[in-house]
Amino acid sequence: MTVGNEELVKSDPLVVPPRFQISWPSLTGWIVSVAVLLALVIPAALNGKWEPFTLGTTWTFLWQGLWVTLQVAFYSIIASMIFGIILALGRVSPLKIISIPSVTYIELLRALPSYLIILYCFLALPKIGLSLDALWLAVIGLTLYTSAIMAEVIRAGILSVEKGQLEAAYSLGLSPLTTLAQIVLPQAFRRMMPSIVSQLITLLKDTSLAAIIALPELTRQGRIIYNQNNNVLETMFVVAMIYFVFCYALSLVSRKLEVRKHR
Amino acid sequence: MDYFGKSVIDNLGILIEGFKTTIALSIIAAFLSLAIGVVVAVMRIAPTGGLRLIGAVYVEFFRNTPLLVQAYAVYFGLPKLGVRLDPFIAGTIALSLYTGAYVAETVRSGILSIPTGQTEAARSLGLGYIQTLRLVILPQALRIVLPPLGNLLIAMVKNSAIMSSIGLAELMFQGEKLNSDTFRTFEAFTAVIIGYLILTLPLAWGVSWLEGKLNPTRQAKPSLKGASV
Repeated sequence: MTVGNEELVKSDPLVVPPRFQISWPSLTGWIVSVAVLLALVIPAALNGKWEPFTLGTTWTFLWQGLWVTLQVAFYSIIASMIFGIILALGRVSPLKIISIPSVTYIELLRALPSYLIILYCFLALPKIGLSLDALWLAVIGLTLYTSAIMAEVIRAGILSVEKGQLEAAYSLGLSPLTTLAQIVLPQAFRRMMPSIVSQLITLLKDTSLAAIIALPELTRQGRIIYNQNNNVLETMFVVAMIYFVFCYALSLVSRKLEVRKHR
Repeated sequence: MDYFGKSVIDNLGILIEGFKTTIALSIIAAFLSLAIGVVVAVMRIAPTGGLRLIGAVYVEFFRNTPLLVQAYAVYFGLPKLGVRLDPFIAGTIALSLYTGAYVAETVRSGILSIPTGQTEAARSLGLGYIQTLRLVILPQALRIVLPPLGNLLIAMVKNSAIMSSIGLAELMFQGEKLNSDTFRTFEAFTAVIIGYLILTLPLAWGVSWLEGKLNPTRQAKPSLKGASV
């Protein structure tokens, strides 16, 4: 809708319902939906078994799990960025001996469930003589998967840098490596930031899959708590809200970066 | 005689059984999440603020919490409220609720990309609010978001593997079972990997074909979006 039209549209009740105006149907809608949400929340809050969450020990236990979760996510995202850059550069390489393995890796790993990859690492790596801590197995599994996705994000970022930038850098006498490091990658990274942050959200949620390889991260700790106290829904709600705080905060960051990109 | 892959050949029956279950789960959850997604997307653009609130709470909660936690809550938690579900139904519900939140956001972005003139024209022709949505806006919006919906479908097929942790006997579950029965880890996982690739690779090719068909100028350019599901 253009600016000139706005006045006209507002004065015409037929076209678009005016937004910020208190009307009876709208007010009723608000009351009904808040009532629905409260009707769901209040019985759960009153009938649930929340006593374990009044104890400090429960929260210490969850905090230990959260710390492991954050560590796994941190190491995995750093490693995925590094391997992602290598794979992205490998994919655009003119040498077939480099580009074909890179493309194959990216396309295959992207097409597989991260659950499968983590479990495979857990079961197969010890069989080839690599017995690692569950934390590192989770990091390896998540990195194998996330680096393939990162590679595509980074490649898209690199390709989004205009050709003129390259030509200008070359005509100034910069070497290809300097051009990449100082001209292309900094600009590409600024454009990729929203995607990288939203991939970090996915990664943070995927760390919960490490619970199946007995890593004592947040979800696993939650399982132990509900098995002891017999309160699945309450514990899973608390655990979900802990993930939610981190993921929602990250999604706000991602949205903010997206807005800045378009300015 | 013992050779690489013997355990898979011997147990091909249960693997195919699991493969079929994965397909059935994916198809049912795809339709359910599409239905949830369209309804929630419409709620989120509704003129009634309260509906927008409920839609937003649903989308943000399910998108920002792990699917595994949701699956545990549905499968182990609901029986405490007296609702006993078998793994397949619990898995379908969890997968549909999770994917539905993503579908809702995708469909909403499609609806918002339709020029306002379409709504104005439909309303001035005398169509009601619901009719405008159903006959004018949604058909165009869904067409635009077909490729991103395809990507969500691929992500959903991959996410269905998580349901093996609540005992849903799909492909991943059967692979794990084969592994623990025979201790042939490499054989079992090779079979499962091939099974997933048979499903996801053609879908991925289909999506890029669709992208090219709907938007020929942007062909061959990789997306900055990644696969954040």
